[in-house]
Amino acid sequence: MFRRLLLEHWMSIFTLIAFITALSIYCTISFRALRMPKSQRDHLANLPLND
Amino acid sequence: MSARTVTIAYNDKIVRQFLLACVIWGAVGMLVGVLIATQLNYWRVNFNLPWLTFGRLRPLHTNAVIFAFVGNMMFAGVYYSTQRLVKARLASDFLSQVHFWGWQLIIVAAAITLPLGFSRGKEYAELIWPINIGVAGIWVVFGINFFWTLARRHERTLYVAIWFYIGTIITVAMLYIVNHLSIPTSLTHSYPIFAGVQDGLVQWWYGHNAVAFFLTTPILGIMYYFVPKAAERPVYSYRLSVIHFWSLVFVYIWAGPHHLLNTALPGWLQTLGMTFSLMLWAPSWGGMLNGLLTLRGAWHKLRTDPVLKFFAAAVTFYGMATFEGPLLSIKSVNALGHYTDWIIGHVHSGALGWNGFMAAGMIYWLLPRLWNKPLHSVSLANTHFWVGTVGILLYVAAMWTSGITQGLMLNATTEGGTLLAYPNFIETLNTIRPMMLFRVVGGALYLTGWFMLAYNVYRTVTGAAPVDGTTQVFVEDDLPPGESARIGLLAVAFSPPVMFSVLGTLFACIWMFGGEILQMLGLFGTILCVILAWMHFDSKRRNWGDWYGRLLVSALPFSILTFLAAAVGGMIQIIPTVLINRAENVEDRRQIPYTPLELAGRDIYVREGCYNCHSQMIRTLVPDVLRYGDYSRLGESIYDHPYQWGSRRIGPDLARVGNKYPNSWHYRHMEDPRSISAGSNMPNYPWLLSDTLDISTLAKKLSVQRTLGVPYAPMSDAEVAAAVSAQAATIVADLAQPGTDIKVQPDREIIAIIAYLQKLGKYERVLRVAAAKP
Repeated sequence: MFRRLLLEHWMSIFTLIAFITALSIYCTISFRALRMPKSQRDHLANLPLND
Repeated sequence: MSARTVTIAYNDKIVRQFLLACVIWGAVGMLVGVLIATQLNYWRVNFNLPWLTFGRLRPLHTNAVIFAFVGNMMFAGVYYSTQRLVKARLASDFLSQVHFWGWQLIIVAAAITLPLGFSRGKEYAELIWPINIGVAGIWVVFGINFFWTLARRHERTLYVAIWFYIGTIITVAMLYIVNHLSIPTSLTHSYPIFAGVQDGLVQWWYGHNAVAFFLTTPILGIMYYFVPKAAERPVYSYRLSVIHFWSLVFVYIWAGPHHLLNTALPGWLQTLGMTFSLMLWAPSWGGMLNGLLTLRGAWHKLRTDPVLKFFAAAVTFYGMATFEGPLLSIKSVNALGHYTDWIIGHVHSGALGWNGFMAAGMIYWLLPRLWNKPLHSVSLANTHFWVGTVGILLYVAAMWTSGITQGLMLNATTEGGTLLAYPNFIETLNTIRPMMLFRVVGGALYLTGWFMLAYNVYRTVTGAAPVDGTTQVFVEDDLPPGESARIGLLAVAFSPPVMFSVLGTLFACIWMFGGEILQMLGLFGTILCVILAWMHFDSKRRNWGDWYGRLLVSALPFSILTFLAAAVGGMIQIIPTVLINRAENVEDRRQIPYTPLELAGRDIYVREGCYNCHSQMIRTLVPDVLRYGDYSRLGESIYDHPYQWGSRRIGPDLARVGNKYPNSWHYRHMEDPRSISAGSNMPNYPWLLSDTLDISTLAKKLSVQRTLGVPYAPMSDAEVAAAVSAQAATIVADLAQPGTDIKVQPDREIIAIIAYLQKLGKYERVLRVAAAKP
């Protein structure tokens, strides 16, 4: 399979791999971002205004 | 707990230096842009001078705008905002000065060498190897100064702008080093270690992500600092900014192959490039909306405040450009838009609208603060905004129209798709000439606006006393209760999220690339990793959250994870291609290596920047095949260091131009293109007819090519000279035939370039049986 990577298209699988990879990243990061405590969010968001 | 108050004096001198350099180099870069746009309309503006031709000045324009204009702007913005966000003076005044003067020296070196024809022949990576080393060195100085400052910070948490700066510093270093790996043949020349499709893939991994991590992420960091400052309200959603950052860092890096759609690039890479580009819509627009919505409640200020005007328009252009990019990455759309002015319009909506307007807004905001004097003329700044906006819209609309027109004409067929509707390339070029003229007008308007800014800067700064900002911070020596402690490197490496991610990726690679038994093992391992990771997360949810919280206040582990996030996409795309794209694996067709004279001609082709107007890649599209011949195979450029597939067709494709025309045709065409192709906008190349071919380093060049894997036999200087003379004599004799009567010395550069052009498209057949051995 490895050598055939150069010569074949694999259209049916690589679109899915790209979709699953991107979706898992978005979901993970969104989960983390949504769980940020409000105090931390407010503190960070106001940093530019506190100098 | 002990506490004390500390007064911090910021190093704003370095900010002022970079800001002024940005204004000056911005004007130079844009001026060259207007000049080369004019050359496309009026070929005489090339002045028959080698150092003023389009092919040599276009790299100067792109490098000046990217590295000199946006680079200096970025450094000014990063240094100003970082000091204030982390509440610490820059770590080293000395390193700051080394950074500034080193960067200016690099720009001057580029401004001298590029017009002289010293080029690596790869877009945005043309600078020769000694300058490459200088760039890498100065970038390291920048990185040390930045991370050292973070280490001395008085603000524990890292604001999202700092994340974007970290992503920029480490990713640009990785991209720049890999794409510039070369073996020198002399002080001013080298060959890249990659060839053909490998070189194309690495080049656009770099080229695309130069846009992502040099022109986008640092400017997003600047947006997340300066837009709240100018609007006097916090960013609309900090959560959204977190999603914006990680999504861009993870996803952007995969999108490079969309620059090579419908080419000989392996299909799976094209598919990945296209799909990930479409995925980029979400984070890009999330970021754009976050920037625009930060102006909530401040929209009324846009009527009078030029800073907010520039920022609002810049963020809007960011949204436009990041909508258009994924659109152009769809293969069928790309078949129309690629190689045309549509791409040029897309790039300039980003460069002029996003980068240029962010720069202008930042400069107008900083001027009064850095020189403690009100802006000389707010109305002039507002005029700049409107003149610049009209300029961009004129430019971009003209390029859209031009690109779509030429794309449609080049792809149009008749007789049921068997004949080209516009077989003469020049006809398509002359149709878009009015649009190319509008581009000059649009560009000139934008440049006029920039001169207004320069005048405003001059009048504001004149007679003003520079002032450095200060602040007082309350420093607690102990950790406040409830705050996360920083995390060490080992703790990062052995933390559950990292371990599960690494193991999962490893098993997934074994699943994808292993043999039959290994594939099963990989599949099983991947599924197991996912299940175990979920079970661990479910049972130790608090630990995972705590680990993430500690990561956000730990700059070094955070940087390493950012590096891994950015590197993984490139590794998965590049490593397999580098490993298997070898001559012995090629099927169907394999390139025949160049003779010494042809190689010398190729170096001239690179020196003159012919790739700026001519591609060498016939796509797997019917109109391309009808116009230029059989589509290009993977193996037909396997010995090309550097690859010359190109990205724009101002002239026709040359992949199969060999033997298409007689030698005399090429001679006359180089001497005066219009004597062969009426209406051509190609410059004359009279110096090729008079300049002597330099073969003093040719043996060394062949030796380096042999080291890189091109199957040359060892040759001495004398053998090389003999081979060159023999081939040159046949071309000279052919040119002197009755009917053409061209008398030319065999040691002229024109002979070498004719030899090279006549070689293009030559290949040997490769039997599938021979190639199929494991």
